[in-house]
Parts: sequence; structure tokens; C-alpha cells
Amino acid sequence: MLDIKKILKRSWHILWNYRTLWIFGFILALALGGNNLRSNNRSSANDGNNIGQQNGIRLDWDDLRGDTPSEKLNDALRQANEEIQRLRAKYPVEFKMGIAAAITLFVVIFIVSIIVAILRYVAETASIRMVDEYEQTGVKVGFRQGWKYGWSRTSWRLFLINFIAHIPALVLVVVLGLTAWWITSAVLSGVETAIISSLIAGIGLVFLFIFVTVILMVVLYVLRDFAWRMAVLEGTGVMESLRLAAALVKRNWKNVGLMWLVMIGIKIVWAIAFFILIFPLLIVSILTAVGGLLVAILPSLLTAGVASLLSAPDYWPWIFAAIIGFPLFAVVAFSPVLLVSGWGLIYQSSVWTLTYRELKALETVAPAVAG
Amino acid sequence: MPKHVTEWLGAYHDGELNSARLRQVEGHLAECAECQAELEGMQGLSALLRETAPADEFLPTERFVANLTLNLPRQPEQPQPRKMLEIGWWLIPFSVLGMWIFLQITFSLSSLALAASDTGLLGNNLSWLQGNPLQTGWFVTIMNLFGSQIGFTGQSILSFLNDSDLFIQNLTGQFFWQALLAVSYLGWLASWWLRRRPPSQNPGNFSQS
Repeated sequence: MLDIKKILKRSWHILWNYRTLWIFGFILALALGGNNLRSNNRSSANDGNNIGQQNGIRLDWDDLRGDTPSEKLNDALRQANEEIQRLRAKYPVEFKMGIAAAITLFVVIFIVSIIVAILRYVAETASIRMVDEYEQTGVKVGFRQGWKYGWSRTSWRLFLINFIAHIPALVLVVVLGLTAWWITSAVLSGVETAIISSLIAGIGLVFLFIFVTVILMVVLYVLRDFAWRMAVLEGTGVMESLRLAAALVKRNWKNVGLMWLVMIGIKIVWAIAFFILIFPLLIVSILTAVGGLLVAILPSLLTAGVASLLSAPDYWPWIFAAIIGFPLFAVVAFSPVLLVSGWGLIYQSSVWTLTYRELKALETVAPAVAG
Repeated sequence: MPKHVTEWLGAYHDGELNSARLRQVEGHLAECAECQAELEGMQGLSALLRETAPADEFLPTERFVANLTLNLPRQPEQPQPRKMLEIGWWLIPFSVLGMWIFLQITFSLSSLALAASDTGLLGNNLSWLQGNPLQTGWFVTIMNLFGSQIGFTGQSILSFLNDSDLFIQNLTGQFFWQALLAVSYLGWLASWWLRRRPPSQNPGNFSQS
């Protein structure tokens, strides 16, 4: 039987005694949006619903021309197009600059997303290997060596394993898209019975699919965590890692299930602690924001200079400067929040790495019986 | 005295010796009291074995192990209700998590449907589903009683307070359920932690403790 208490205590010890891991935790938190030990603490879509509702943000559907929803939609599109043309004629410079700023923003988001995704898998690989090596030899490596551990083909494998684990989520997106298309078609047709039936059936279908996908993802996330450790520590390929991880979890489902239940509890406690901590952390962030400004100021000024050379008038160079400078500013300004988030992520990673090691050790002593 | 024939006595007793060896052994036995005594011992043992009931058949290992296991003291079987309780106990956390997922999906989908309805995309088809009041009770009362006497600024402030109240009510409703589920889960985990037995010594592979 797995000694859960020992694993939790040991992970705690590693977290506080192996500070190089904090850097990789910071990177993980940055990549995962500082989302608090990967718990689903996102605010509901309903949160802002009432405000908008009460402020009277409504589409004037009744004012549109046409008898059917389809005709009304065409009228809405036509009106939108006319409005765009009017704005283009009235504010030609702003219109052009707005499009350029939107493209710049999109390119910046795209590049930052790719960089952050690469950093995430490097940090995942490094933290798994560093914890394993520390357990095996007691040696703590520096950031450079840790980075070397992460900067390898294994990181790519980790990405592929994660991608495979998210296939059900992709299927869900397709199902949601198809259902939305179905309901929209029914609404555009204007037939009331079709609208009602598509709404009821669509919501039911979506509900069922989301529920099943969430359950499936829970299992796949556990498998993924073990497959990652297989890939990093045993050097196995993507499919081999998943297969071996599935076999390991199947053989030790009681131990793994228990650890998972305990980790859910720890995530809840951590979410509460993080909620309390966020206020002092935001106060500290005011101080680090000064550092953020210092870091972001040079690239922002350079961008503003280049933008002004490219005939961007008035305040537009500063908008481009903000697009480039804000990510740098945000990283430094919110570094306290990211650091604390990173602790949670490193603790979680260490727990699963130690669990993996412990399960392997248990199987070495009492070899698993196939089937 | 010639050499004893002890090594041939077994074969002699079983009648397996050929004529030359047989004559040699018989000749020796006629003269040697020691070998005669040895032969008599063998004959006595043989008679004893014949008298004892022979084993039916050779016992295979599996059978032997099964017989042995049957003879070992058995652990008393858990009574059925206790097993059911045990299963129920382990179903608690999964039920709590299932309910949490259910609530999350319900909140998300209902807010999505209401948002679609609010923007007029669904016409009046969802109006029968809307139970969400746009005005709180206190706001309606104040507006009915003093609406004509309150100026534009006052009405704006009251309207803002009404919106905020509705928003907080909505948020609190969701928070309440989530907090309730979180407390239930943590309560279960704490009681499991307290009643669990410490695991037996296993091959821990921690380098330091």
C-alpha cells in the first residue's frame, strides 16, 4: 500500500529545499495562466450576465427588417457592413491603424503563446527529472542543468502525450459547434417547433457530452501524468508511454485513485488559501509593477519609435508600444502571484513523480501479476 | 570370511538377481549371520509396509496447497451490510465530485442560454424559462412608493444598487453550492485520513526522510 502521508511530506520537503524548482514552477504558472494548481476555479460565464442584462445591452432584433430570423440576420449584417463603410470614410486613418493594431496584437499573442507552450513542456520535463534525480542521488542541480534536462526531445513527447489526452476535448468542441449550428439553423428557419425542439435536444446533448468528456478527461489527465513520467524517466515513446501508464494505473488503481482523491482535497484547500493570499499578493504586485515598467519601457519605446516612422500618427505609436510592452510588464508585475502559483504546481508535480517512483518500487518488490 | 553382500540384499529380496549373483548371495547368506540378520530386517520392514494401507495416489502440488489452505485458520468473512457500507463510503467523494461537475455544467449552460435569450437571438422562445428577476423586491417597493419623488440621479444610484444586488445574489447562489460541496468533500477526506490505518513497511525509495 502506498504511503500517501510520506509522499506528501516528502514533496513538501522538496518544494522548500530545492529552490531551483521554483523557477520552473514560475514558468509553469506563466504557461498555465497562473491558474492555481490547475483547479477549475474559473468564474462562471454567468457572473457577468446579469450586469449586461440589467444594463440593457440587447440586440434590437425587433427593429430589424424582415419577417423571418434569417431575413433579420441579413439585415443586421447589411447594417453592420454599412456602419463599417461609414466609419472607414469618416475616420480613414483610425480605421487603417485599428486593423494594423489588431493584426499586431494577434501576431504578438500567437508568438507569445508558442513561446510559452515550449517553455511549459521544457519546465514539465525539467521538474520531473530534477525531482527524480534528487530522490535517486540527493543531488540538486542548478537552473542551467535543469534547463538542459528540459530542452530535449522528451519535451516534444510530453506535448504529444498531452495532445492525445485532449482529443476528447477536441471532439467536444466539434460537437458543441455542430449543436450550435443546429440551433442557429433552427432559429434562422423561424419555425417555432424546430427552435424549441433543437434547443431542448441540443442542450440535453451538450450537457451529456460535456459531462462524459469531463469524466473522461479526469481519467486521461491521471494517465497523462504517469505517461509523462514514463517518457521522461524511462525514455519511452509517446504511445508506449501511454500504454505503460495505462497498465501501471490499471495494476495500481486503488493506490492511484486514493492519491487522486487526496490531491483533489489538496487542490480545494490550495484554492481557498490562494483566494486569501491573492489580496496581499496583489499589493506586492504594485511594487513589482515598478520593475515591470522598467523592463517594458525600452521595448515599448523602440516599438513606438518604429511605429512613428511607419507613419502612425497621433497616439497610435503608443498603442503599438503597449501591445509589445504589456506582456513584459505583466510578467514582472504579477511575478509574486506567478511564484506562489508555481509552488502549487511544483508540489503537485513532485507528488506525482514520487507516486510514480513509489509504485515502481512496490512492483519491483512484489512483481505485478499480468491481468 | 568373504566380503558381505549387503549391497545385493535389496535386489535379492526383490528377486531381481541373475543366477550367478544369486548363487553367490545364497552361498554367503548360508554362512554369514550378520547378512542373514540384515535380510530378516528387510523382510520385516517389507511385511510392515504391506500391512499398512497404501496411499490412493500421489498428491499433486496444487492439491496439496489447496488442502493446506483449507486447513489454515480462516479470516471471518465480512457481513454483507458492512461491505455495502464500505462501498457507500467510497462512493461519497465521487458523488460529490459528480455533483460539482453537474452544477458547473448547469450554471454554464443556463447562463449561455439566458445570454442568447437576452440578446434576442432566440426571440421569445425561452421567455418561459426565465425566472431571473430584473428587479429586486426592495427596488420595486421603493420605486412604487417614492419613484416620482426621486430625481434622475437618485434613480440611477438605486438602479445601480439593484443591478449589484442581483449580481451578488447570483454569485452567492453559485458560491454557496460550490462551498457546500467543497466542505463535504474535505469532511469526507478528513474522516478518511483519521480512520485510515498506517501502511505496513514498504520499500520506500526516498533518499532522505
